[in-house]
Amino acid sequence: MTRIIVVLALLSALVCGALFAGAATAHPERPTGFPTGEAEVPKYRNSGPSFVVCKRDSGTLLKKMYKGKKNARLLKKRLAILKRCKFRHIQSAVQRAPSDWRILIMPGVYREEPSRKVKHNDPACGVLKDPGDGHGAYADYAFHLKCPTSRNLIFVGGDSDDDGKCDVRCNLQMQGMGRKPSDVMIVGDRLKEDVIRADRADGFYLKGVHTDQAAFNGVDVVETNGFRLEDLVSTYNQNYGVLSFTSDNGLYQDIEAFGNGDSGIYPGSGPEYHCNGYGIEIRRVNSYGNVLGYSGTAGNGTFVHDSKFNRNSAGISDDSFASGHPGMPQDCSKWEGNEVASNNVNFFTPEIQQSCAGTTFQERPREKVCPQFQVPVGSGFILYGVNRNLIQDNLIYDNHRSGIRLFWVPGAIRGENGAAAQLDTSNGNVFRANRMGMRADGSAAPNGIDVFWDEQGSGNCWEGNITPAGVNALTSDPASLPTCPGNPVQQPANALKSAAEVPCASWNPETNQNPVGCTWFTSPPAPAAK
Amino acid sequence: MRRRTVAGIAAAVVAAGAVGVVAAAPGDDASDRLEWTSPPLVFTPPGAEDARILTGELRNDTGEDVELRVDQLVVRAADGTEQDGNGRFVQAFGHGLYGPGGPPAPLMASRFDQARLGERVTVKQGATRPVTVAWRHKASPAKQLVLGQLTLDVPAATQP
Repeated sequence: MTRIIVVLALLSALVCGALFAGAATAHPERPTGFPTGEAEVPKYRNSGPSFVVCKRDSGTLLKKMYKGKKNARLLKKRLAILKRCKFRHIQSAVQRAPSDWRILIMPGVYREEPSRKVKHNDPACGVLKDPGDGHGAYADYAFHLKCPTSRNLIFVGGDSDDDGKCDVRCNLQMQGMGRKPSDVMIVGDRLKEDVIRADRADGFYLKGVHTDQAAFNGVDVVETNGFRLEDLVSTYNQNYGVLSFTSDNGLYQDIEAFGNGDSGIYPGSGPEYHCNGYGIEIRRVNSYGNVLGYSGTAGNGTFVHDSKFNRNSAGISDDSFASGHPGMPQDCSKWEGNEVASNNVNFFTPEIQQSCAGTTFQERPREKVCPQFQVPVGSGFILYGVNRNLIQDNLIYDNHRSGIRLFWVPGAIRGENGAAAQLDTSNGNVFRANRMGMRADGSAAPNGIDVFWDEQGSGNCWEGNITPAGVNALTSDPASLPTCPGNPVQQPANALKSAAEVPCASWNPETNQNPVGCTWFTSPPAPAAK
Repeated sequence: MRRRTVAGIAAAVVAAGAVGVVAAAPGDDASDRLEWTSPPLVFTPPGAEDARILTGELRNDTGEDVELRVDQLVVRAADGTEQDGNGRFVQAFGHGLYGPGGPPAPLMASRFDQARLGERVTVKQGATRPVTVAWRHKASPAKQLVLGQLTLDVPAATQP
């Protein structure tokens, strides 16, 4: 009977032309704008007013992790801090914290039980909106303000009156007090979207915690001017490990992310510096075992260096696909000194996809990775619709399909139908002095092909890239690549290359796991075996 | 399992709804009034030798605006059988906004997203629109692209 009622309700909604509403089928971010005004990446503070959060076993854990004479002084300090503990739940401390305070989180496992008890998407908190303009169904800021924990376990809301400005909990420093991030484990309930959401929380600083099992994002920083995400681990979230969106003056540093169904880190809708600087810096990230190591729709103005994006399905993605993301089309990021290697983990096998289909995130084993996006398995960089980026001095090797894919995205796909928008992507990208198809020690580890380019755009160029066969000896399709400054004349896309990817757009984890004509989900053979 | 059942029913309802759309569109004599602006390309995608992909640009010469939907796209073989496949009214890959749980079911995103991703488009009289279709190649070659009650000829492969 229940099933009949459900089906009747569904039929009724469809016949009436109503939207098949629900957060599970649309992007849940609200329309946002870039923050304005001067700001800096917050600096670490080891003094100043603070709240202390702890668990019953925090003292025992501290004594275990700070054993021995050499740690005695540090242990004494930590135990002294522990004596000031007045909170068992992080959110309780956040709610009471004034601006410029610190929240010191003692070792333990934090499940945030009071937050879990708050109904998910409680209609009393507000109605999820879907204006049908491409943003998808979303909760507005007022929703979070009214019910901070209806969609998050921990909500750091910096704007008390919804006027778009941070006026409470600004410059909040939340810090794990263990020896390593995993000593302070914050475990999602697998239903609520974010484990930690910092929203309009200018100066937000998060350090030394491990987030796990978010239904969407482990850490989510939105419309925040000045943020620092440091010494973090984020694992087995349904979509993203650590994410920022329409935020500026930020730093991601010393982050480990793995097991995420979309990307380990996601600096999306990045700051609009248009090649006059970088608003977000990312360094010393190790992102592996995800569907994507890194992704950023409209990932603008970001400087990524000295990081590793290895052993994912694909290493790094930046794109201009989606509407509803401020800052389109993507431009002006830099990747330098990164390792992008062995991105051949196939999360799209029939076995994995079939076992993921028909089960919700809550129902799956906790360490099961189910792909949330389609990617060409075996790829290093996948750059779709990006402009004026600099990719230099990276190590890009052992990606069985391709080291770099560069493709055009016509503006119509992000909802812009003017003639100029159809050619405004995939221009001016520079690939310089990368070492391709070889490890750091110089030994060969070929990519399937170093560069696969749809041949579209102007000003894309390659120079000084090094392979085991010598400088500028990349394997590529097309066979010849323009040297810098590239061809100033706009070139059309190779229609066959563009069309060959279209079938992959029909991928759907529930209804079409292996679209006819899409080759992305078949593991390419290791190049040496070819 | 229940989710799959509901999804299947939902798809059926959408298809049923589509009949109404087609009935309101140009009549039977409107067949063949979609035209290729130039011969489309048909090719075998590298790595998927059992598939064929067609990409081209159609023009609406029906005398009316038409709505084209991917659930009405069918590739018909020379022997009359229908081929298993997929399609989009675009010429390049794109994707939508996916929330927790991945993409919405086909034709379940907002109308805006359906249009930009080429799942459901309105082609004004005289206007053009790209289309890309993939299908499983069988002994009987593809002959016709069926879009509701409208059709387009599929040329023999122009690429090996």
